[in-house]
Amino acid sequence: MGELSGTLRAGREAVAGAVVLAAEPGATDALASTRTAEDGAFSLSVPDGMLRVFARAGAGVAVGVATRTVEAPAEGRLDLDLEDHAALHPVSIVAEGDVPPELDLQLTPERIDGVDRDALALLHATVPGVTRPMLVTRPFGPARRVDLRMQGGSWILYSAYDLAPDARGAGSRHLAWRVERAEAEGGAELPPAAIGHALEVDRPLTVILRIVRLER
Amino acid sequence: MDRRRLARASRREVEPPPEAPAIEPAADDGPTLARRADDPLTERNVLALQGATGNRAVSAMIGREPQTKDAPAGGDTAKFDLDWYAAVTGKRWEDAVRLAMHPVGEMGARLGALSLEEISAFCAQAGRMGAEALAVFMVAEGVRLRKLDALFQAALAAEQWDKVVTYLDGYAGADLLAKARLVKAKGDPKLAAAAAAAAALWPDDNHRIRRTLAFIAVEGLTGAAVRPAVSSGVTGGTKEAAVKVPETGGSVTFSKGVSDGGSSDLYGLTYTGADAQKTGWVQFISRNIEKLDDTGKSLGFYVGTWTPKGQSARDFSTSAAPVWFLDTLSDQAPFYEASSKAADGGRGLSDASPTKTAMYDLPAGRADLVAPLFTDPAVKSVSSRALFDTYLVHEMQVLRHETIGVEYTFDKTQAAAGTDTAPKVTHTGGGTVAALPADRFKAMTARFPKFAYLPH
Repeated sequence: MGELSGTLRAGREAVAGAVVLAAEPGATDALASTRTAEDGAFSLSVPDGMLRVFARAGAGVAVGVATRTVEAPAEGRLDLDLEDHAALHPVSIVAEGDVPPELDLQLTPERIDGVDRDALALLHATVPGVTRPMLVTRPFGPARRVDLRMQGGSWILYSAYDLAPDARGAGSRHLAWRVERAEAEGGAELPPAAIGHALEVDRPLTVILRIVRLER
Repeated sequence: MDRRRLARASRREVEPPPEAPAIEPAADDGPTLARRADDPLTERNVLALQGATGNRAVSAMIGREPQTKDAPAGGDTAKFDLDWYAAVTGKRWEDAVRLAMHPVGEMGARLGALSLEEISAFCAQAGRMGAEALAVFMVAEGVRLRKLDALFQAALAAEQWDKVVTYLDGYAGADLLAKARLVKAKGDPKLAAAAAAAAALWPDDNHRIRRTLAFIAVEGLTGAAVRPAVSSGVTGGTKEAAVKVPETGGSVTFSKGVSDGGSSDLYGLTYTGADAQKTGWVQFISRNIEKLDDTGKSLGFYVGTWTPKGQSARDFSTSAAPVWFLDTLSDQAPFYEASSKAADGGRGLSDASPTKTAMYDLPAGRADLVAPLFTDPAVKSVSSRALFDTYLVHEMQVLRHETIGVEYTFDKTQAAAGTDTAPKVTHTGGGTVAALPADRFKAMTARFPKFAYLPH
């Protein structure tokens, strides 16, 4: 066993609160995991040998992944940068319509430029303390807007909220909020993804989600 | 007991026992709670009557029974009294009971001379001896209750709450509730003082006196007041065979495929029987969402929370280790069918009448939480489950429970559509129980702390 230490950055900024994990190359289970500190620093206790180190940055403004295959512990210090793989683009996502305060925006990458699919599968590795299935979960808040810097690539954009009592009341209805339409600047509609909508990030973007309330 | 008390006691006449309250005849298909005129005075019959009406009524009845044991002819009163004295002072209660089974002279006065502690020990021993000492037990029980009444009333008048609750512990069944109501009659602050004294005396909140005082405090919210008559308007459904509830003479029926206009997949639990407006359902819900691969192998459970309308966040759990939450819309009582105090408060879909308490439910599948799980390519299907553990309760009793599972299974396409799939509703089990499991009791009292009266 050895200690693998490093930092995660997004250009000149430290990335705090990101999950960093180590796995055998090609594997989808994490051997070790941790979170980055305020200054982006992390430290992992890892077995000797070839390892894939994978960082999932979903908690801050800069979102995306960074990865590198290393020989542990010989590499010693490991500095990762989201921009090593793909440029970060400012993206604003605005919710319009009937937006409940509980509605979250969720995002996860399907493809990131410069990151191979095997590595990206580590987005779904089980890590203690991580419960969200998608990389980014962010409330729209009173401004009904989320501003991020997203890595270039293909992303899944999803937003939905169901409100129902557990006990069924007389005449009670299940309320559901869904994205009726997602469009980029200029009104071009985003195509559907496996769930939600597909968002190609290759430049600064503003996306508008039109939210509707359904009664069931 | 000293010798002078003993001598005086042996000369006194036995006081007649109090009159028994009127006893309603039992329903033909119900439990044998009442003793008919031609029933033999068997131990089973006496115990059944005791359970239903309390010791006082049974004691009174036994007191009117002809003595079946013959006293030894020409017995020696002085020798008997000496033997009695020795047994009582030596706390040899089995000897004392055996003497009382073949008394020389009247036993009532001798029993009356015992202290409350002594007569209680005597009664306990006679009770342990079963049928052979039944007649002695019931006569002695009458004596014990008269002593207890006097001491209880004095303590109540003096508002000596530690003594009040100690004496309450000497009562059972209907007697206990009647005496506890006398405490309540002095006002809620006095009842609270008695409850505090009981808590100091018995740290276990499952102690029957603590539960009784808790029940008395909210008794007005356990019956028809929170179950005003209502009709759900549901239609259809397939019913399972009714199951008897021996304690009440009623029955329970599970049904599924019930329609309320919004869905035709509701399940229902119906209690039918007397006293239905004091009988109802306390339902607990546990939810889990399980990810499955293309072979049906589990890829683990979703970790997170859901927030039902009007409630705080609740943790999803797993099928193997469910975490339970009380499931009611009421803001004043834990029963599913209970109404709310607030004008705009909710009430679980239900039927309530003097002879029926029925509840109907169907949870949502939470497609909003399921869909993001399919961003993992290994996930091929997802099961979103609601497990229910639903208890039939009558006043302070837990009578039975039913377990129900509602499962929504999604594939990626269905999840992407964002609507619930058809649920699979299964009545997975149930049966007679006498208490709530500790975790469910805790879940109930977390929302309704004053309803801590159910056994657990």
